[in-house]
Amino acid sequence: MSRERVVVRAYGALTRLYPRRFRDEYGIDMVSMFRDQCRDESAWRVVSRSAIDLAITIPTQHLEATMTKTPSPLVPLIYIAIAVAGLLLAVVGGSTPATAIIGLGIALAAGTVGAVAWRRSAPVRETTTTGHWWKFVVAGPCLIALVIIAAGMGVEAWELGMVTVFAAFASIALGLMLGLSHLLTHRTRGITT
Amino acid sequence: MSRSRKALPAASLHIVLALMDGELHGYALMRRVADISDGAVRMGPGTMYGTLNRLVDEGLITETTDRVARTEGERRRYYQLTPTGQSAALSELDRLQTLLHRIKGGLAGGATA
Repeated sequence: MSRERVVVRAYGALTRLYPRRFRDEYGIDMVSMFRDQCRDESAWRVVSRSAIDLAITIPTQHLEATMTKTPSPLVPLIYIAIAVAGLLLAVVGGSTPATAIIGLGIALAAGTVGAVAWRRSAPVRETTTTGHWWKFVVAGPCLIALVIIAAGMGVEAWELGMVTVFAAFASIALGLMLGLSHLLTHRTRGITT
Repeated sequence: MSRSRKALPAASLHIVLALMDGELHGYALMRRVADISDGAVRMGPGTMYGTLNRLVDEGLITETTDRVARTEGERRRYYQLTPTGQSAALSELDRLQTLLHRIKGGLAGGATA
């Protein structure tokens, strides 16, 4: 194998250090350009220039990839589910003013964060993620059933029980929202295709 | 011609100016940049394609892939300025000419004072 081919192969291997998306898009073109440069110029000059180029652009591309990364669409849904659960806690479990205040506080805080996160994230498009919505809906009643069974057996752990009920509400709300987004995505695709 | 646009970074500026004559592929573009800068600017593949990627995202250039077939069957990606890119290139030239004019005026003023 000639020295030029070894150098080109080594450069090709180093391009694997770029972020995957960038490498998939431009990797072949970069190696091709490097090969052209080696053909027309002194290999030593090309290698030294490219070494500096790699050292600067690999971290730059990783930084850009991180900064332009779209937040997961699940994040706002989780916060909104917590807000809904907080509201339910305040309404259903609000026998005491303290519980109602805590529930409303949770709803307000999580709702605000959820709304901000919703604005910053792309709409849910991944049917593979939203397709699991029913599992969250089923998990909610299961958790409530566990609490009822535990209470029936005489277990006195009210704090743990309240947290579990809260988690159940959140799970049901999250499942319903995922299901809704799954349905809407499915319908949109059906219309456009 | 709008002057409110933020000045382009050096690598973007050279690429945009190099594409003013028409579409070019990556390596030809690198050589054109070296030519117009009298050999002072020689971009590596990472800088070149990273900048091209940003310029495509910003809508200043567009890709015209596979316009010309290559002997080895390897694809070549060609790039050309969009109307926005043309406008940005002219705006940058205008900005540079104004800068040069002011500096020359300042130097002349300083020499006569």
